[in-house]
Amino acid sequence: MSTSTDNNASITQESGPSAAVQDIQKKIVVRTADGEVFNLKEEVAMEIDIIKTFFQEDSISYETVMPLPNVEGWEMVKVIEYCTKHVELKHKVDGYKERKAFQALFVQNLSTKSLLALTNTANYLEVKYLLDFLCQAVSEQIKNKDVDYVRELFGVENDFNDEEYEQVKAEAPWAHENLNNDLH
Amino acid sequence: MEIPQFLEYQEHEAVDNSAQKVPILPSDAIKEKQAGPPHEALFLILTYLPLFELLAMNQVCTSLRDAVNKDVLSWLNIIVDKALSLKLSDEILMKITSKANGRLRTLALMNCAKITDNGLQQVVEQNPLISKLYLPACTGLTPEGVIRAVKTLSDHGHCLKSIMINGIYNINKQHLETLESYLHEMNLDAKKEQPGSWPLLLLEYMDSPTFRHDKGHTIIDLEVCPKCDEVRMVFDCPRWACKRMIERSMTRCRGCRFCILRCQECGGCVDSQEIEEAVCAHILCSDCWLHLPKCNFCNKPYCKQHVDNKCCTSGSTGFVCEVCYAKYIVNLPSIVEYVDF
Repeated sequence: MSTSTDNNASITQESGPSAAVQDIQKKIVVRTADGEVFNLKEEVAMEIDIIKTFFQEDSISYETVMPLPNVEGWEMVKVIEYCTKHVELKHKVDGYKERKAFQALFVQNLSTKSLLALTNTANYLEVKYLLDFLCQAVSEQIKNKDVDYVRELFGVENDFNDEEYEQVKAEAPWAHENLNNDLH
Repeated sequence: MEIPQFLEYQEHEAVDNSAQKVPILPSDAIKEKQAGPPHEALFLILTYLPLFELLAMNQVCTSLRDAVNKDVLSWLNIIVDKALSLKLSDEILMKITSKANGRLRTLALMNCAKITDNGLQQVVEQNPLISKLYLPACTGLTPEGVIRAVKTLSDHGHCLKSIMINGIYNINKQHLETLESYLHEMNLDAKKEQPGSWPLLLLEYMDSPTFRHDKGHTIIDLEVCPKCDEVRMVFDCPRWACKRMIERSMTRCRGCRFCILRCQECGGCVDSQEIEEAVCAHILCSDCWLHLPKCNFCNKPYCKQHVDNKCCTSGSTGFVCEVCYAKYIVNLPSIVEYVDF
């Protein structure tokens, strides 16, 4: 699969002298819901808490292929991408701009639907900083937007009856007055 | 006869105006089937939402309303941003914070000018476990009011880790010292672990001011500027070896915004001789000025904060800034009248 070779390729591309050392580095293998198999570098795999717990708590051998029935192949690719970058930037002092640029690219071509699916996955896999980032990204999408926009964006049906809806609006009437006038 | 270019602009303006009347809908909406129940992930984002967006989610559907109302977790980190900052009164603040059942952790009131010392004190008395108290530009507060609130938190909950008070009027060095003593007493462990703190860069601060504690910045956002000796926000320089450092070797490029001018785009220090100006009057360094797109008329760029104010005219590349647009394009009809066709 192209994804497995991508992982392997990224190792040989790294700095020359330590490449030999990294080849011997342990790998952890996982299988996603759609049958795709991924070879993760140990240090990246350990960023994913659910994987870390699985192997460390019961001292399971790295030869075991860990099943991830709730994760799709494309989601795993994205998670690996983010965690790998995170590990890389961990020790950089002035990585702020680089991180920002990476984050912008990371979500650039993700549809809203994909973004939500990935958020769920990050939660399931227990990668806190990825979950934080994705939740922030979704939250940015609805920043300053009104209820109709939010419903439309996330494809949510309005299942309030009139009475209930009036009640809910009456809880914070000041919040949505003069919406268009105040926002600039 | 050639239609003067001016008339073309006028036509496009009319088209633009009518286009703007259509409600703005998300181009990226989940459209494939009929609207249905909310995605699971929407429940995960609730705790990350600032107040305005949280209240909007509350109105989306019944299951989200139930989640927002019954889950105290969504109410433990209250962030009041631009959308609601001027509407937030003491009374509303009390109502909102009471949903935390006394367990409020973060209270971030950005530019909430209507909040008074009494309002703040009430919240703090009911929520002694607050760990982040952010009150930038809450001009209704006084330094004494803030000190009183911090003392209450110190006496009862002892959890306060980070405060922001930049923009509150009349804070002097004594006030700062008093606050520092309370806060350092509450954070003795933190001081041992992190002798220094992460340098504060202008860019980072503007992007996400409420994440300062997580990034390891100082406990109070104000300090005494090493250059002018006033109580201000002090920034470091992102440049690896900035000009200032090289010229006056040994002094770090640290100072308040009055002492060291910084580029709005990159946060780097700018010499008074090489200042470039943006349309919005913000300062830019020559490097940033060079690579930003510029107005077709006056050749000034926008800083990224204000870039949405640009006016696009179809039929030509680039953009026209709002100032030139008002000056040269909107005013044209009166000029055109004088032209005899």
